[in-house]
Amino acid sequence: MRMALEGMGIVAPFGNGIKALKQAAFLKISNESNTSSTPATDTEPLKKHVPVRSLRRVDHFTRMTLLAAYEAVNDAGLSPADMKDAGIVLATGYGPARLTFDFLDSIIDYGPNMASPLAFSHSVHNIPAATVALSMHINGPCFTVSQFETSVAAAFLTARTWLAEERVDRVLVGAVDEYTELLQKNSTRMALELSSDASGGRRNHTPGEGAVFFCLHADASRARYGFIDQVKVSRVQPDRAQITPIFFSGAAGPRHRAALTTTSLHDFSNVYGNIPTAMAFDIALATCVLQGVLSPRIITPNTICCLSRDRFGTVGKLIVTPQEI
Amino acid sequence: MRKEVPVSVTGMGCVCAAGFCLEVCLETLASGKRGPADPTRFTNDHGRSYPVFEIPQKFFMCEGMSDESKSLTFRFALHATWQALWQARLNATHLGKARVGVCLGTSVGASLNFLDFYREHRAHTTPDLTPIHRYLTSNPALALAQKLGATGPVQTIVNACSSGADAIGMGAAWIRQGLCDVVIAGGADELSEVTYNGFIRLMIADQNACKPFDANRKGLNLGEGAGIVILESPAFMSKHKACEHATICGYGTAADAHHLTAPHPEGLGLKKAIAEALQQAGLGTRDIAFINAHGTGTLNNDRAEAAVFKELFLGKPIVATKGVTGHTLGAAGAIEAVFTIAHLAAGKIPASPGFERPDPELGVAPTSRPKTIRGKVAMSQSLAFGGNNSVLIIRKGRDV
Amino acid sequence: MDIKTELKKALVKELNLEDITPAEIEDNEPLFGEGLGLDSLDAVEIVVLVQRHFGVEITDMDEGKKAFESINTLAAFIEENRTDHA
Repeated sequence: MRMALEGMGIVAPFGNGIKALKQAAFLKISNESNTSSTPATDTEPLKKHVPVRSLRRVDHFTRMTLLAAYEAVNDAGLSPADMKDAGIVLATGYGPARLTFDFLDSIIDYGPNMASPLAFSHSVHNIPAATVALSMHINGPCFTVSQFETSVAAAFLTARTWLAEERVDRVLVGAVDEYTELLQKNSTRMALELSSDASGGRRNHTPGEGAVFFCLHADASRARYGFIDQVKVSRVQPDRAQITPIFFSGAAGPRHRAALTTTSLHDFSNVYGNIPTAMAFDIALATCVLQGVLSPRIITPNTICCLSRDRFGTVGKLIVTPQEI
Repeated sequence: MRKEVPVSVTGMGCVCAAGFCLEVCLETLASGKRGPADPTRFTNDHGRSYPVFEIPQKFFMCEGMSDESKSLTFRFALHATWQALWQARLNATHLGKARVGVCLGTSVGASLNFLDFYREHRAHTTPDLTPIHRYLTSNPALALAQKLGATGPVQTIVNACSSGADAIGMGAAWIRQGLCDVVIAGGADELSEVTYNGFIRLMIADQNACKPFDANRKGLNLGEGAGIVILESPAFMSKHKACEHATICGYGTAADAHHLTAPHPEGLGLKKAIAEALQQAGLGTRDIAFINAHGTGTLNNDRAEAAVFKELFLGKPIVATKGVTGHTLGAAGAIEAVFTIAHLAAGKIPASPGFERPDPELGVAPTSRPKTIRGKVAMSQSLAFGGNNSVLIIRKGRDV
Repeated sequence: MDIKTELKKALVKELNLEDITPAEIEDNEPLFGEGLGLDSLDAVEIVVLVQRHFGVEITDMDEGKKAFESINTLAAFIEENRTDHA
């Protein structure tokens, strides 16, 4: 079953919105920009959508989540009132990492007796998605999935399952991860443990963070940006012959990458950095490329396969196709 | 929500403080015997007792539990999976011919709770990466699919206390939609020093053994374990001598959108989830023979559930089982689905361990003695942190 | 610094009340519901703040509820229960 993509929201260090993503991708492909070492994402525009007071306990991860969700709803030409029975699925690699570490800090600094319950409660993985539901008054199904690089595909699979069951007509699918110095440090240390050809380029990854939200609908006529189809998350390695141009993210050394495709494989990690939910950026970018945005550097295809692979050998993939004319 | 065909459950497994397998857990439930105590794997530095339902060290010799390179959460899940596959009479040959999906729920199993590692990092030493490696190789569904060579869909759901129920609901949908032939679905979680401290600081942990729905209840006790069900398509069942223990005939899930740490006082999201589950099952509230409550023993949770029981299920038997399992977080919804299946098969529900005195404010009470059940359909519900509510409607299987 | 001032400062800082200054918190205005509009999650955080700043422990939220009505009641509770605390 294909899902109509009616809106997108993007929040990232390179800027917010689809225009910023197109710009960042264009500059990267033209080798014209530098990536900063510590990504910093601007969530101030969130104050346009919600009362400032309501944000007092909201951490950076959740602010990125909320902003991308509101932007996606806006972009679809909708308001929160239209979302009442919508589903929400959030994909995340590590969840609200900074707040997790804040809670650990409070245990270490003050002892377990005086650790912060606020930090603990907000570091639980499903709280950001619940915050979207709370903020927009959504009473539909609300899931969070966490399985590293295949989280994004699993979130789309959840959305597809709900739409096929007619549990909901509309789903907000989001993907969020945040930068922390400790995770970056661990990532580099572990990449150094591998030989350079097995590390899949992980030694030189620039750090990333960000939030991407997609507003999906069961009705094909709402496909402003095209369709998401053929979602799969499994250990079955994709059939080489079926693969169309691939936008790839995740854990795969040269051998695995070569096994994936006979046609072109694009890795945009230098646009958005090292982030488990990279596939979401690839999907957003795919909708732009299908409109010819990166032409002539990337020839405009008919469909794009977005694919991500995790360390367990699980592959998450889906197809992005343009809206019908 | 469309009415759907029921999905068969052909095997179950579970492990928690109440027992290393379902049979022992049921004996513990029947006896109500419990001995929660302070944790042994980490210290309680609060100056007063906050007991937990810890799985004893001696269980770690059981099948599936011994791989120390993996997290306890994964090891519990694997152990329960072996039990469930054995009961389902599915061996490696059968599985090799099937598309097997894996859908598991967890909380701690996906969390960055490496306190000791983090302490060393704060002290500017360079800590050994072993706990990080363990975390990265122990994502429950990914690791289980890898272990079994499963070729169907793979998903790890982190919806806090409703994760186990959500995974079963999702797995059932995969079968109905033809995404795979078999699903290993359920939840697993381990006790963690970080989560332990968190719940104590939220002041919802009891300093004594928990008392679900009791007038003197003071909060929850954390627990750990795993619950697994094997779901199969009719086509695959016919290929081997499968026995239908139960069917999952409905699943509903809805957000309260009320508060992040307290449930909606009138159970708004819970009522929506119940309505959705019943709709999918093509049933009404009168068809429900008994309900397995979430029943954590906190003031707010039990109050919210009671409000809904009074409104929709007045007079229906309610059983609360966390009095012998503790709150197993991501595993809870799955362990309780397994208990519900077993109770339907036995035609009996036990007294609710820990419950003694009805709370007049609640207006409903769970079982205080064993009760015969004649009906074939039951409901199990889970209320999660963040305000998520998930409900499973389970029917007794044709072969039990 | 007297207890009430220290309390107000701690609340504004630790509960991230960006739109209000400590001086603007009235001694007798309700902290929960209306007034400052705090909720149950703020309440458990305040328990920890009170312990960190004043060494006074609240183990039972029923006890806490009465103390938390306003800055006045909370300061009085702390005064009553604190032992020597540097």
